[in-house]
Amino acid sequence: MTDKYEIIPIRTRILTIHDNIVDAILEYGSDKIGPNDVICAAESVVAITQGRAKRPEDFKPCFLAKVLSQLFPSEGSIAGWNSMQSLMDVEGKYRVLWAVICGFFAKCFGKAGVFYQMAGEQARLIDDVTGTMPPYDKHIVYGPAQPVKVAEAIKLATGCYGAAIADVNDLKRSCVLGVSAGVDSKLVEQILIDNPFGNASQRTPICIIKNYKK
Amino acid sequence: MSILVNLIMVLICLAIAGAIVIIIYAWMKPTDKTSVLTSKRTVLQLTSLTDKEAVFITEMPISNTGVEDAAITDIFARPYLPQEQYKQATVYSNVETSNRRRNDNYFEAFILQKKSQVSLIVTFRFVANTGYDIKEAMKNMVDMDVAIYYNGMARKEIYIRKDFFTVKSAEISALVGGADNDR
Repeated sequence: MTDKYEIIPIRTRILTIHDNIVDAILEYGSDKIGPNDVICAAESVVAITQGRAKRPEDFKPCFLAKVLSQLFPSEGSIAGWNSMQSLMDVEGKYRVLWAVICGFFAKCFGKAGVFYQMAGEQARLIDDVTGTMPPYDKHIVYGPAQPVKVAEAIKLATGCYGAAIADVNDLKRSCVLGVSAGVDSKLVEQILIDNPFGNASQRTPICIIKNYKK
Repeated sequence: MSILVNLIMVLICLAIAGAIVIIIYAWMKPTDKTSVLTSKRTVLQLTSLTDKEAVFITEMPISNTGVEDAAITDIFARPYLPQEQYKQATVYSNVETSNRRRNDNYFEAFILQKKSQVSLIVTFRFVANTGYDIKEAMKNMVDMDVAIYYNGMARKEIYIRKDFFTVKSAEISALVGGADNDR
């Protein structure tokens, strides 16, 4: 699928909470964007520009967060007191508790992933400390808010065919969180499967799918 | 009817018992056990020497003997060298991990895996104060205590801990003399 589309990664400076993702796209990519293109932005960078990177010290873990966090594998992003509290702050602690209970019983019957379906989108999107490049390596980073609205704003500002906010990694995991009208999220996921955003140090959080609309 | 009531009572008791077991499990669960092994630090090395400045490094491991990974978000060294004790030079310090060296004085957070250790490189840069030559200043250096602060977290509370070591005056004066002979 990737072979059928030309993908242009756009190198930027490190984008921070002081940046606006639409302005950044215009600053670094406006000369490369055409009317038939789809612009893709990495979800963690969109989230950071929305101010959704928080220091773990900013959270006050409640009793429930301290208990439930210990039930998750240590490699996960909500396995610590503070990261679990970060999830509870946005999704609600009783929703998370209910998701844990249902997830436990579902797992007893051999069905995995129920917790992540029930606990809200942020359960899948939160990055714990060390999950993001400096200077956000010491932060807990949420997933972006209102990704569809962001995609629409990018489309409107750039005049391109459409935009997508995507979560892609080198392990062939590609998930589109939001697209503007007219863009097929499943197709974009397939196009981005080889992670054109690269790793964090390559600083290419934006890429352009050229001539998406044939 | 009484069977139904009994069944509900049993389910409630099971839920309470389950909750208690989970709470005890969460509380008893071991976490990381991280420390900087200052006793295993290497001898000081002189890496550069000019008229105004002398730079030394030493290495020591940060170790996690616990059963959970730890996220180490910051480490820095605080040399205790007050001018009341020694006024010929001012010391600046920096800490890096040996596998991820940087030249920007930024400490990049990393995961210290359970039952593992990572080598830390501690750099001391001595700058001669006005009117002093660094080689002479180093020959008059005093014993200097250093605290290594580290900020980390595993799956429980965030912590800031510190471990100490002492840089002996003899180490420094010997190195500066030796380096001088080579130059």
